[in-house]
Amino acid sequence: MSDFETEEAFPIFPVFLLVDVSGSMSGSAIDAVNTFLPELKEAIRSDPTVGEIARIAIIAFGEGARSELALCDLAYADLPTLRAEGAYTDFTAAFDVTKREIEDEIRGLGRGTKFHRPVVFFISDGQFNPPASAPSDWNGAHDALVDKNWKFRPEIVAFGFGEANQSEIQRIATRHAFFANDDDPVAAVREIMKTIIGTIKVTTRSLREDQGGLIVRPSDPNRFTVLPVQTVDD
Amino acid sequence: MRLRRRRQDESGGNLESHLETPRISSESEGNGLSELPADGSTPAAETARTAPVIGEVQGGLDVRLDAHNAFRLPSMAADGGLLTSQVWVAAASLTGLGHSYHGTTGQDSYAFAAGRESGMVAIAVSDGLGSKTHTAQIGAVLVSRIVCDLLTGARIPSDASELPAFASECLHKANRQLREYRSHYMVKFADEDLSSTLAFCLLPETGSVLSGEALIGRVGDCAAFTLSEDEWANVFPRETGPLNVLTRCLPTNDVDNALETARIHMAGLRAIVLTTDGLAEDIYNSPALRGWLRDCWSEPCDGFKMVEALRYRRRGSHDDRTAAVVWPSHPEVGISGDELEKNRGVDPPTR
Repeated sequence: MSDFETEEAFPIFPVFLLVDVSGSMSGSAIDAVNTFLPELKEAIRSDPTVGEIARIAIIAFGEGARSELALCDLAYADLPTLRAEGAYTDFTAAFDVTKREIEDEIRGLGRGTKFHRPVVFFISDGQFNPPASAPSDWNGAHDALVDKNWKFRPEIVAFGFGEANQSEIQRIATRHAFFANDDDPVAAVREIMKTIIGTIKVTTRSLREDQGGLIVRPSDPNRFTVLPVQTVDD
Repeated sequence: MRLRRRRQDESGGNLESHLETPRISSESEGNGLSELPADGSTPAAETARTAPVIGEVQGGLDVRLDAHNAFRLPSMAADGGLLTSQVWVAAASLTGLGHSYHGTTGQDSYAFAAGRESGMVAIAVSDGLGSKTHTAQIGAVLVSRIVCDLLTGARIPSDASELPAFASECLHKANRQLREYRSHYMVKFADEDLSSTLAFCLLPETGSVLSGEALIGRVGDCAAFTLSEDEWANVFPRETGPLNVLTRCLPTNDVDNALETARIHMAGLRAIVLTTDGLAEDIYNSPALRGWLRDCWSEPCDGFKMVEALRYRRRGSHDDRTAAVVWPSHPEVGISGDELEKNRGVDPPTR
Protein backbone atom coordinates (compact mmCIF):
# COMPACT_ATOMS: atom_id res chain seq x y z
CA MET A 1 0.00 0.00 0.00
CA SER A 2 1.41 3.39 -1.00
CA ASP A 3 2.33 5.95 1.60
CA PHE A 4 0.99 8.68 -0.67
CA GLU A 5 -2.66 9.59 -0.32
CA THR A 6 -4.67 9.76 -3.51
CA GLU A 7 -7.16 12.20 -1.99
CA GLU A 8 -6.48 15.27 0.10
CA ALA A 9 -6.08 14.31 3.77
CA PHE A 10 -5.88 17.09 6.32
CA PRO A 11 -4.42 16.80 9.86
CA ILE A 12 -6.65 17.05 12.89
CA PHE A 13 -6.23 17.56 16.62
CA PRO A 14 -8.99 15.60 18.40
CA VAL A 15 -10.18 17.04 21.69
CA PHE A 16 -12.78 15.38 23.89
CA LEU A 17 -14.49 17.20 26.73
CA LEU A 18 -15.63 14.63 29.29
CA VAL A 19 -18.01 16.54 31.52
CA ASP A 20 -19.72 15.48 34.72
CA VAL A 21 -23.44 16.22 34.40
CA SER A 22 -24.58 14.43 37.52
CA GLY A 23 -27.10 16.11 39.78
CA SER A 24 -24.42 17.90 41.81
CA MET A 25 -23.57 19.95 38.74
CA SER A 26 -27.08 21.36 38.57
CA GLY A 27 -27.51 25.10 38.60
CA SER A 28 -24.59 27.49 38.34
CA ALA A 29 -21.93 24.86 37.60
CA ILE A 30 -23.59 23.42 34.51
CA ASP A 31 -24.68 26.91 33.48
CA ALA A 32 -21.03 27.95 33.57
CA VAL A 33 -20.11 25.02 31.34
CA ASN A 34 -22.82 25.94 28.87
CA THR A 35 -21.66 29.56 28.92
CA PHE A 36 -18.13 28.44 28.15
CA LEU A 37 -18.93 26.44 25.06
CA PRO A 38 -19.55 29.46 22.80
CA GLU A 39 -16.35 30.99 24.17
CA LEU A 40 -14.47 27.84 23.24
CA LYS A 41 -15.97 28.00 19.79
CA GLU A 42 -14.89 31.59 19.33
CA ALA A 43 -11.40 30.97 20.70
CA ILE A 44 -10.82 28.14 18.27
CA ARG A 45 -12.29 30.03 15.37
CA SER A 46 -10.19 33.14 16.05
CA ASP A 47 -6.86 31.30 16.01
CA PRO A 48 -6.35 29.90 12.51
CA THR A 49 -3.46 27.73 13.61
CA VAL A 50 -5.91 25.90 15.87
CA GLY A 51 -9.16 26.41 14.02
CA GLU A 52 -7.94 24.62 10.94
CA ILE A 53 -7.08 21.43 12.81
CA ALA A 54 -8.89 21.26 16.17
CA ARG A 55 -11.93 19.00 16.26
CA ILE A 56 -14.03 18.93 19.41
CA ALA A 57 -16.34 16.32 20.88
CA ILE A 58 -18.36 16.48 24.08
CA ILE A 59 -19.23 13.48 26.21
CA ALA A 60 -21.44 13.88 29.25
CA PHE A 61 -21.49 11.42 32.13
CA GLY A 62 -23.54 10.96 35.24
CA GLU A 63 -25.57 7.84 35.80
CA GLY A 64 -24.35 6.67 32.41
CA ALA A 65 -22.46 8.39 29.62
CA ARG A 66 -23.45 9.66 26.21
CA SER A 67 -22.05 11.64 23.34
CA GLU A 68 -23.49 15.15 23.29
CA LEU A 69 -21.49 16.35 20.30
CA ALA A 70 -19.63 14.18 17.80
CA LEU A 71 -16.10 15.16 16.80
CA CYS A 72 -16.46 18.18 14.58
CA ASP A 73 -15.22 21.57 13.52
CA LEU A 74 -16.75 23.66 16.27
CA ALA A 75 -16.94 26.71 14.04
CA TYR A 76 -19.78 25.07 12.15
CA ALA A 77 -21.44 23.11 14.95
CA ASP A 78 -24.65 23.70 16.79
CA LEU A 79 -23.56 23.64 20.40
CA PRO A 80 -25.44 21.33 22.75
CA THR A 81 -26.94 22.52 26.01
CA LEU A 82 -25.78 20.20 28.76
CA ARG A 83 -28.27 19.30 31.47
CA ALA A 84 -27.34 17.99 34.89
CA GLU A 85 -29.48 15.34 36.51
CA GLY A 86 -29.39 12.06 38.38
CA ALA A 87 -27.99 10.82 41.63
CA TYR A 88 -24.97 8.91 40.35
CA THR A 89 -21.52 9.60 38.94
CA ASP A 90 -20.32 6.64 36.94
CA PHE A 91 -16.67 6.94 35.88
CA THR A 92 -16.72 3.47 34.33
CA ALA A 93 -19.37 4.43 31.82
CA ALA A 94 -17.52 7.68 31.15
CA PHE A 95 -14.30 5.90 30.24
CA ASP A 96 -16.00 3.13 28.28
CA VAL A 97 -17.94 5.58 26.13
CA THR A 98 -14.92 7.84 25.70
CA LYS A 99 -12.78 4.98 24.46
CA ARG A 100 -15.43 3.98 21.98
CA GLU A 101 -16.02 7.51 20.77
CA ILE A 102 -12.34 8.28 20.31
CA GLU A 103 -11.74 5.31 18.06
CA ASP A 104 -15.02 5.55 16.16
CA GLU A 105 -14.71 9.27 15.53
CA ILE A 106 -11.09 9.26 14.43
CA ARG A 107 -11.57 6.23 12.21
CA GLY A 108 -14.64 7.93 10.79
CA LEU A 109 -12.45 10.69 9.40
CA GLY A 110 -11.03 8.28 6.89
CA ARG A 111 -7.99 6.16 6.26
CA GLY A 112 -4.79 8.15 6.11
CA THR A 113 -6.00 11.00 8.29
CA LYS A 114 -3.11 12.16 10.40
CA PHE A 115 -3.95 13.17 13.90
CA HIS A 116 -2.29 14.63 16.93
CA ARG A 117 -2.54 12.47 20.03
CA PRO A 118 -6.11 12.92 21.32
CA VAL A 119 -6.62 14.88 24.50
CA VAL A 120 -9.44 14.25 26.96
CA PHE A 121 -10.31 17.01 29.39
CA PHE A 122 -12.06 15.36 32.34
CA ILE A 123 -14.12 17.70 34.51
CA SER A 124 -15.93 16.63 37.65
CA ASP A 125 -17.22 18.10 40.88
CA GLY A 126 -17.94 14.78 42.54
CA GLN A 127 -16.70 11.38 43.53
CA PHE A 128 -17.19 8.04 41.89
CA ASN A 129 -20.70 6.93 42.79
CA PRO A 130 -22.02 4.28 40.41
CA PRO A 131 -25.54 2.94 40.26
CA ALA A 132 -26.03 -0.54 41.66
CA SER A 133 -26.14 -2.03 38.17
CA ALA A 134 -22.72 -0.68 37.19
CA PRO A 135 -19.24 -2.02 38.05
CA SER A 136 -18.02 -0.91 41.43
CA ASP A 137 -14.49 -0.31 40.22
CA TRP A 138 -13.64 2.12 37.40
CA ASN A 139 -9.96 1.29 37.16
CA GLY A 140 -10.35 -1.38 34.48
CA ALA A 141 -12.19 0.94 32.14
CA HIS A 142 -9.63 3.65 32.76
CA ASP A 143 -6.72 1.29 32.15
CA ALA A 144 -8.20 0.27 28.82
CA LEU A 145 -8.55 3.92 27.82
CA VAL A 146 -4.90 4.74 28.54
CA ASP A 147 -3.42 1.42 27.45
CA LYS A 148 -0.08 2.17 25.77
CA ASN A 149 -0.77 -0.50 23.18
CA TRP A 150 -3.89 1.24 21.95
CA LYS A 151 -2.95 3.54 19.06
CA PHE A 152 -5.67 6.07 19.87
CA ARG A 153 -4.86 6.34 23.56
CA PRO A 154 -5.36 9.92 24.73
CA GLU A 155 -3.69 12.19 27.16
CA ILE A 156 -6.13 12.86 29.98
CA VAL A 157 -6.03 16.18 31.77
CA ALA A 158 -8.20 15.91 34.86
CA PHE A 159 -9.85 18.80 36.64
CA GLY A 160 -11.67 18.48 39.93
CA PHE A 161 -13.57 20.97 42.00
CA GLY A 162 -16.23 21.04 44.68
CA GLU A 163 -16.78 17.58 46.18
CA ALA A 164 -14.45 15.76 43.82
CA ASN A 165 -11.94 13.38 45.34
CA GLN A 166 -8.39 14.56 44.81
CA SER A 167 -6.89 11.08 44.74
CA GLU A 168 -9.38 10.03 42.08
CA ILE A 169 -8.53 13.11 39.99
CA GLN A 170 -4.85 12.22 40.30
CA ARG A 171 -5.48 8.64 39.26
CA ILE A 172 -7.57 9.63 36.25
CA ALA A 173 -5.00 12.01 34.77
CA THR A 174 -2.13 10.73 32.65
CA ARG A 175 0.24 13.60 33.40
CA HIS A 176 -1.67 16.70 34.48
CA ALA A 177 -4.19 16.92 37.30
CA PHE A 178 -5.59 20.04 38.87
CA PHE A 179 -7.97 20.86 41.67
CA ALA A 180 -9.64 24.23 41.55
CA ASN A 181 -9.20 26.23 44.72
CA ASP A 182 -12.36 28.25 44.22
CA ASP A 183 -15.31 27.31 46.40
CA ASP A 184 -17.54 29.08 43.94
CA PRO A 185 -18.36 26.50 41.23
CA VAL A 186 -18.84 29.19 38.60
CA ALA A 187 -15.38 30.59 39.20
CA ALA A 188 -13.91 27.09 39.26
CA VAL A 189 -15.52 26.13 35.98
CA ARG A 190 -14.48 29.40 34.37
CA GLU A 191 -10.81 28.88 35.27
CA ILE A 192 -10.93 25.27 34.14
CA MET A 193 -12.35 26.28 30.80
CA LYS A 194 -9.80 29.05 30.31
CA THR A 195 -7.05 26.55 30.99
CA ILE A 196 -8.55 24.16 28.47
CA ILE A 197 -8.65 26.85 25.81
CA GLY A 198 -5.02 27.77 26.43
CA THR A 199 -3.95 24.15 26.34
CA ILE A 200 -5.65 23.50 23.03
CA LYS A 201 -3.93 26.52 21.53
CA VAL A 202 -0.38 25.50 22.35
CA THR A 203 -0.58 21.74 22.05
CA THR A 204 -0.25 21.57 18.29
CA ARG A 205 3.47 22.16 18.45
CA SER A 206 5.97 19.32 18.22
CA LEU A 207 7.01 18.01 21.58
CA ARG A 208 9.05 15.16 22.90
CA GLU A 209 7.47 11.88 23.90
CA ASP A 210 8.29 12.47 27.54
CA GLN A 211 6.03 15.47 27.59
CA GLY A 212 3.20 13.57 26.03
CA GLY A 213 2.70 16.12 23.27
CA LEU A 214 0.90 18.41 25.68
CA ILE A 215 1.58 21.66 27.47
CA VAL A 216 -0.86 22.58 30.21
CA ARG A 217 -0.52 25.87 32.01
CA PRO A 218 -3.33 26.94 34.32
CA SER A 219 -4.82 30.26 33.32
CA ASP A 220 -4.18 31.45 36.86
CA PRO A 221 -1.86 29.16 38.84
CA ASN A 222 -3.13 30.63 42.11
CA ARG A 223 -6.56 29.22 41.43
CA PHE A 224 -5.39 25.61 41.13
CA THR A 225 -3.69 23.05 43.25
CA VAL A 226 -1.51 20.97 41.01
CA LEU A 227 -1.91 17.33 41.95
CA PRO A 228 1.15 15.17 41.44
CA VAL A 229 0.53 12.35 38.98
CA GLN A 230 2.52 9.15 39.06
CA THR A 231 3.09 7.37 35.74
CA VAL A 232 3.82 3.70 35.29
CA ASP A 233 7.13 3.09 33.55
CA ASP A 234 7.15 1.06 30.33
CA MET B 1 0.05 44.66 11.41
CA ARG B 2 -2.56 42.44 9.99
CA LEU B 3 -2.27 41.02 6.50
CA ARG B 4 -5.21 41.50 4.22
CA ARG B 5 -7.79 38.86 5.05
CA ARG B 6 -8.23 36.31 2.33
CA ARG B 7 -11.85 36.08 1.33
CA GLN B 8 -13.22 32.73 2.37
CA ASP B 9 -15.62 30.59 0.47
CA GLU B 10 -18.92 30.18 2.21
CA SER B 11 -19.35 26.72 0.90
CA GLY B 12 -21.28 25.50 3.90
CA GLY B 13 -21.98 21.83 3.89
CA ASN B 14 -20.14 19.26 5.87
CA LEU B 15 -16.73 20.76 6.19
CA GLU B 16 -15.65 18.10 8.65
CA SER B 17 -15.79 15.44 6.00
CA HIS B 18 -12.49 14.21 4.78
CA LEU B 19 -14.15 13.74 1.44
CA GLU B 20 -14.69 17.47 0.89
CA THR B 21 -13.51 18.62 -2.50
CA PRO B 22 -10.32 20.58 -2.02
CA ARG B 23 -10.26 24.08 -3.30
CA ILE B 24 -7.16 24.11 -5.39
CA SER B 25 -6.48 27.43 -6.94
CA SER B 26 -3.69 29.74 -7.78
CA GLU B 27 -4.10 33.23 -6.47
CA SER B 28 -2.49 36.06 -8.31
CA GLU B 29 -3.32 39.26 -6.53
CA GLY B 30 -1.73 41.87 -8.72
CA ASN B 31 0.15 44.31 -6.57
CA GLY B 32 -1.47 42.86 -3.47
CA LEU B 33 -2.63 46.20 -2.09
CA SER B 34 -5.84 46.26 -0.11
CA GLU B 35 -8.25 49.00 0.81
CA LEU B 36 -7.03 51.05 3.75
CA PRO B 37 -8.78 50.16 6.99
CA ALA B 38 -11.08 52.73 8.54
CA ASP B 39 -8.81 53.28 11.54
CA GLY B 40 -6.20 54.83 9.28
CA SER B 41 -3.55 52.18 9.90
CA THR B 42 -1.66 50.87 6.92
CA PRO B 43 -1.97 47.18 6.39
CA ALA B 44 0.97 45.12 5.24
CA ALA B 45 0.11 43.69 1.84
CA GLU B 46 0.93 40.08 1.13
CA THR B 47 3.13 39.62 -1.88
CA ALA B 48 1.35 38.07 -4.83
CA ARG B 49 1.87 34.35 -5.13
CA THR B 50 1.33 31.70 -7.73
CA ALA B 51 1.51 28.80 -5.28
CA PRO B 52 -1.82 27.08 -4.75
CA VAL B 53 -4.30 27.23 -1.89
CA ILE B 54 -5.38 23.73 -0.93
CA GLY B 55 -8.46 23.11 1.17
CA GLU B 56 -10.52 25.50 3.24
CA VAL B 57 -8.19 27.92 4.99
CA GLN B 58 -8.88 30.57 7.60
CA GLY B 59 -7.79 34.15 7.24
CA GLY B 60 -6.41 36.42 9.89
CA LEU B 61 -2.94 34.96 10.11
CA ASP B 62 -0.80 37.78 11.44
CA VAL B 63 2.93 37.72 10.91
CA ARG B 64 4.92 38.49 14.02
CA LEU B 65 8.69 38.39 14.31
CA ASP B 66 10.45 36.91 17.31
CA ALA B 67 11.53 40.24 18.72
CA HIS B 68 13.24 39.06 21.90
CA ASN B 69 15.36 36.29 20.51
CA ALA B 70 18.65 37.45 19.00
CA PHE B 71 19.20 33.87 17.86
CA ARG B 72 16.07 33.80 15.73
CA LEU B 73 16.38 32.57 12.18
CA PRO B 74 15.37 34.55 9.10
CA SER B 75 11.75 34.00 8.12
CA MET B 76 12.96 32.74 4.81
CA ALA B 77 16.23 31.55 3.36
CA ALA B 78 16.93 30.25 -0.10
CA ASP B 79 19.66 29.19 -2.46
CA GLY B 80 19.91 27.71 -5.93
CA GLY B 81 22.76 27.12 -8.29
CA LEU B 82 25.62 24.95 -9.37
CA LEU B 83 27.38 23.44 -6.38
CA THR B 84 29.92 21.71 -8.53
CA SER B 85 30.35 21.60 -12.27
CA GLN B 86 27.92 18.73 -12.46
CA VAL B 87 25.56 19.12 -9.55
CA TRP B 88 22.81 21.73 -9.16
CA VAL B 89 21.25 22.21 -5.76
CA ALA B 90 18.45 24.41 -4.55
CA ALA B 91 17.02 24.83 -1.09
CA ALA B 92 14.62 27.01 0.82
CA SER B 93 13.40 27.29 4.36
CA LEU B 94 10.26 29.20 5.32
CA THR B 95 9.10 29.87 8.87
CA GLY B 96 5.74 28.24 9.36
CA LEU B 97 2.52 30.11 9.93
CA GLY B 98 2.31 28.63 13.41
CA HIS B 99 5.55 30.24 14.48
CA SER B 100 4.77 33.47 12.63
CA TYR B 101 1.36 33.76 14.23
CA HIS B 102 2.74 33.29 17.72
CA GLY B 103 5.86 35.36 17.19
CA THR B 104 8.45 32.64 17.64
CA THR B 105 11.38 31.82 15.43
CA GLY B 106 11.31 29.13 12.80
CA GLN B 107 13.44 26.15 13.69
CA ASP B 108 14.40 24.57 10.38
CA SER B 109 17.67 24.84 8.57
CA TYR B 110 19.49 23.43 5.57
CA ALA B 111 23.08 23.13 4.44
CA PHE B 112 25.13 21.78 1.58
CA ALA B 113 28.79 21.30 0.84
CA ALA B 114 31.14 19.83 -1.72
CA GLY B 115 34.45 18.33 -0.78
CA ARG B 116 37.46 19.93 -2.40
CA GLU B 117 39.27 16.65 -2.67
CA SER B 118 36.73 14.00 -1.84
CA GLY B 119 34.59 14.56 -4.91
CA MET B 120 31.51 14.19 -2.77
CA VAL B 121 28.50 16.43 -2.35
CA ALA B 122 26.32 16.56 0.75
CA ILE B 123 23.02 18.28 1.39
CA ALA B 124 21.03 18.26 4.61
CA VAL B 125 17.85 19.58 6.19
CA SER B 126 17.18 19.80 9.91
CA ASP B 127 14.31 20.62 12.25
CA GLY B 128 14.71 21.84 15.82
CA LEU B 129 12.50 20.51 18.58
CA GLY B 130 9.36 22.55 18.89
CA SER B 131 9.28 22.67 22.68
CA LYS B 132 12.69 24.41 22.80
CA THR B 133 11.41 27.63 21.33
CA HIS B 134 14.53 29.73 21.93
CA THR B 135 17.38 27.34 21.28
CA ALA B 136 16.50 24.37 19.11
CA GLN B 137 17.07 26.37 15.94
CA ILE B 138 20.69 26.70 17.00
CA GLY B 139 20.88 22.91 17.07
CA ALA B 140 19.24 22.70 13.67
CA VAL B 141 21.70 25.16 12.14
CA LEU B 142 24.67 23.41 13.70
CA VAL B 143 23.77 19.82 12.97
CA SER B 144 23.05 20.34 9.27
CA ARG B 145 26.34 22.15 8.74
CA ILE B 146 28.46 19.88 10.88
CA VAL B 147 27.11 16.80 9.11
CA CYS B 148 27.70 18.22 5.64
CA ASP B 149 31.20 19.24 6.61
CA LEU B 150 32.05 15.82 8.01
CA LEU B 151 30.52 13.91 5.11
CA THR B 152 32.50 15.81 2.48
CA GLY B 153 35.72 16.48 4.31
CA ALA B 154 36.80 13.02 5.27
CA ARG B 155 38.34 10.25 3.28
CA ILE B 156 35.52 8.65 1.40
CA PRO B 157 35.11 4.90 1.17
CA SER B 158 36.44 3.16 -1.87
CA ASP B 159 33.35 1.02 -2.18
CA ALA B 160 29.71 2.05 -2.08
CA SER B 161 28.89 -0.73 0.36
CA GLU B 162 30.95 1.10 2.97
CA LEU B 163 28.89 4.30 2.73
CA PRO B 164 26.44 3.46 5.55
CA ALA B 165 29.26 2.77 7.98
CA PHE B 166 31.01 5.93 6.82
CA ALA B 167 27.85 7.95 7.44
CA SER B 168 27.43 6.41 10.86
CA GLU B 169 30.96 7.39 11.75
CA CYS B 170 30.27 10.96 10.66
CA LEU B 171 27.04 11.09 12.67
CA HIS B 172 28.82 9.90 15.79
CA LYS B 173 31.35 12.71 15.32
CA ALA B 174 28.59 15.23 14.70
CA ASN B 175 26.81 14.10 17.85
CA ARG B 176 29.98 14.65 19.87
CA GLN B 177 30.62 18.04 18.32
CA LEU B 178 27.10 19.18 19.13
CA ARG B 179 27.60 18.26 22.76
CA GLU B 180 31.01 19.91 22.84
CA TYR B 181 29.56 23.09 21.39
CA ARG B 182 26.81 23.08 24.00
CA SER B 183 29.23 22.46 26.86
CA HIS B 184 31.56 25.28 25.72
CA TYR B 185 29.16 27.95 24.54
CA MET B 186 25.82 27.13 26.15
CA VAL B 187 26.87 26.08 29.62
CA LYS B 188 23.59 27.03 31.21
CA PHE B 189 21.65 24.79 28.87
CA ALA B 190 21.26 21.06 28.43
CA ASP B 191 22.03 18.96 25.38
CA GLU B 192 18.34 18.57 24.70
CA ASP B 193 18.03 22.31 24.16
CA LEU B 194 19.78 21.73 20.84
CA SER B 195 17.57 18.77 19.87
CA SER B 196 17.04 18.48 16.16
CA THR B 197 16.03 15.95 13.56
CA LEU B 198 17.99 15.59 10.36
CA ALA B 199 18.01 14.18 6.84
CA PHE B 200 21.03 14.16 4.58
CA CYS B 201 22.13 12.99 1.17
CA LEU B 202 25.65 12.12 0.13
CA LEU B 203 26.39 11.65 -3.52
CA PRO B 204 29.48 11.49 -5.66
CA GLU B 205 30.40 13.72 -8.51
CA THR B 206 30.36 12.09 -11.89
CA GLY B 207 33.44 10.10 -12.50
CA SER B 208 33.85 9.04 -8.92
CA VAL B 209 34.31 5.38 -8.22
CA LEU B 210 31.00 5.65 -6.37
CA SER B 211 29.16 7.08 -9.36
CA GLY B 212 25.56 6.20 -9.79
CA GLU B 213 24.71 5.72 -6.17
CA ALA B 214 23.73 8.06 -3.36
CA LEU B 215 23.43 7.52 0.35
CA ILE B 216 20.44 8.95 2.18
CA GLY B 217 20.30 9.13 5.94
CA ARG B 218 18.07 10.54 8.63
CA VAL B 219 17.57 10.88 12.34
CA GLY B 220 13.94 11.40 13.33
CA ASP B 221 11.06 12.36 11.10
CA CYS B 222 12.65 14.37 8.31
CA ALA B 223 11.97 12.74 4.97
CA ALA B 224 13.71 11.93 1.71
CA PHE B 225 12.02 11.53 -1.65
CA THR B 226 13.07 10.85 -5.19
CA LEU B 227 11.49 12.36 -8.26
CA SER B 228 11.49 10.52 -11.54
CA GLU B 229 9.74 11.74 -14.69
CA ASP B 230 6.29 11.81 -13.12
CA GLU B 231 6.51 9.93 -9.91
CA TRP B 232 7.29 10.57 -6.27
CA ALA B 233 8.86 7.84 -4.16
CA ASN B 234 9.85 7.91 -0.51
CA VAL B 235 13.19 6.59 0.59
CA PHE B 236 12.16 5.78 4.17
CA PRO B 237 8.82 4.49 5.42
CA ARG B 238 6.37 7.16 6.33
CA GLU B 239 6.30 8.03 10.02
CA THR B 240 3.28 6.62 11.78
CA GLY B 241 1.65 7.59 15.01
CA PRO B 242 0.44 10.96 16.23
CA LEU B 243 1.86 14.06 14.60
CA ASN B 244 3.17 15.90 17.61
CA VAL B 245 5.21 13.16 19.21
CA LEU B 246 8.88 13.07 18.36
CA THR B 247 10.88 9.89 18.63
CA ARG B 248 14.53 10.44 17.65
CA CYS B 249 16.81 13.45 17.45
CA LEU B 250 20.37 14.61 17.95
CA PRO B 251 22.17 14.92 20.32
CA THR B 252 21.41 11.43 21.50
CA ASN B 253 22.91 8.71 23.65
CA ASP B 254 22.28 6.14 20.95
CA VAL B 255 23.31 7.29 17.48
CA ASP B 256 23.27 3.79 16.05
CA ASN B 257 19.61 3.25 16.83
CA ALA B 258 18.65 6.79 15.88
CA LEU B 259 20.26 6.75 12.43
CA GLU B 260 18.58 5.24 9.38
CA THR B 261 20.38 4.98 6.05
CA ALA B 262 19.50 3.84 2.56
CA ARG B 263 21.51 3.51 -0.64
CA ILE B 264 19.75 4.51 -3.82
CA HIS B 265 20.64 4.19 -7.44
CA MET B 266 20.31 7.46 -9.28
CA ALA B 267 19.64 6.06 -12.72
CA GLY B 268 16.25 7.29 -13.88
CA LEU B 269 15.95 9.94 -11.18
CA ARG B 270 15.57 13.60 -11.99
CA ALA B 271 16.01 14.84 -8.44
CA ILE B 272 16.47 13.87 -4.83
CA VAL B 273 14.41 15.87 -2.33
CA LEU B 274 14.98 16.21 1.40
CA THR B 275 12.29 17.81 3.55
CA THR B 276 11.50 18.50 7.15
CA ASP B 277 8.48 16.73 8.58
CA GLY B 278 5.80 19.38 8.08
CA LEU B 279 6.45 19.56 4.36
CA ALA B 280 6.79 15.79 4.20
CA GLU B 281 3.33 15.32 5.69
CA ASP B 282 1.88 17.70 3.14
CA ILE B 283 3.57 15.81 0.33
CA TYR B 284 2.20 12.50 1.59
CA ASN B 285 -1.29 13.87 2.16
CA SER B 286 -1.80 16.10 -0.85
CA PRO B 287 -1.89 14.97 -4.47
CA ALA B 288 -2.37 18.61 -5.45
CA LEU B 289 0.82 19.63 -3.70
CA ARG B 290 2.80 16.77 -5.18
CA GLY B 291 1.76 17.92 -8.63
CA TRP B 292 2.70 21.52 -7.89
CA LEU B 293 6.13 20.63 -6.48
CA ARG B 294 6.82 18.14 -9.22
CA ASP B 295 6.27 20.91 -11.75
CA CYS B 296 8.44 23.35 -9.76
CA TRP B 297 11.27 20.88 -9.48
CA SER B 298 11.05 19.22 -12.88
CA GLU B 299 14.29 20.97 -13.71
CA PRO B 300 16.98 22.86 -11.76
CA CYS B 301 15.72 26.12 -10.31
CA ASP B 302 16.96 29.13 -8.40
CA GLY B 303 16.30 30.26 -4.86
CA PHE B 304 13.38 32.50 -5.82
CA LYS B 305 11.61 29.57 -7.40
CA MET B 306 12.26 27.49 -4.30
CA VAL B 307 10.61 30.09 -2.08
CA GLU B 308 7.61 30.28 -4.38
CA ALA B 309 7.37 26.51 -4.45
CA LEU B 310 6.97 26.43 -0.68
CA ARG B 311 4.53 29.34 -0.43
CA TYR B 312 1.46 27.19 -0.92
CA ARG B 313 -1.31 27.53 1.61
CA ARG B 314 -2.91 24.31 2.85
CA ARG B 315 -5.43 23.78 5.59
CA GLY B 316 -3.77 22.75 8.80
CA SER B 317 -0.27 23.16 7.38
CA HIS B 318 1.40 25.58 9.75
CA ASP B 319 4.77 23.99 10.38
CA ASP B 320 8.09 25.32 9.15
CA ARG B 321 8.86 24.14 5.63
CA THR B 322 12.30 23.28 4.38
CA ALA B 323 13.34 21.47 1.25
CA ALA B 324 16.71 20.80 -0.30
CA VAL B 325 16.74 19.45 -3.84
CA VAL B 326 19.66 18.09 -5.77
CA TRP B 327 19.71 17.44 -9.50
CA PRO B 328 22.71 15.29 -10.09
CA SER B 329 24.21 15.25 -13.52
CA HIS B 330 24.83 11.71 -14.54
CA PRO B 331 24.92 10.01 -17.90
CA GLU B 332 21.92 7.94 -16.86
CA VAL B 333 19.96 10.80 -15.26
CA GLY B 334 17.61 13.09 -17.15
CA ILE B 335 19.49 16.31 -16.50
CA SER B 336 22.38 16.42 -18.94
CA GLY B 337 25.54 18.45 -18.72
CA ASP B 338 24.28 20.52 -21.69
CA GLU B 339 21.14 21.54 -19.80
CA LEU B 340 23.23 22.61 -16.85
CA GLU B 341 25.65 24.41 -19.14
CA LYS B 342 22.95 26.61 -20.64
CA ASN B 343 21.94 27.70 -17.13
CA ARG B 344 25.34 29.14 -16.40
CA GLY B 345 25.91 32.82 -16.43
CA VAL B 346 25.51 35.95 -14.36
CA ASP B 347 21.73 36.00 -14.30
CA PRO B 348 19.73 33.24 -12.65
CA PRO B 349 17.72 31.12 -15.03
CA THR B 350 14.19 32.26 -15.80
CA ARG B 351 11.54 29.69 -15.04
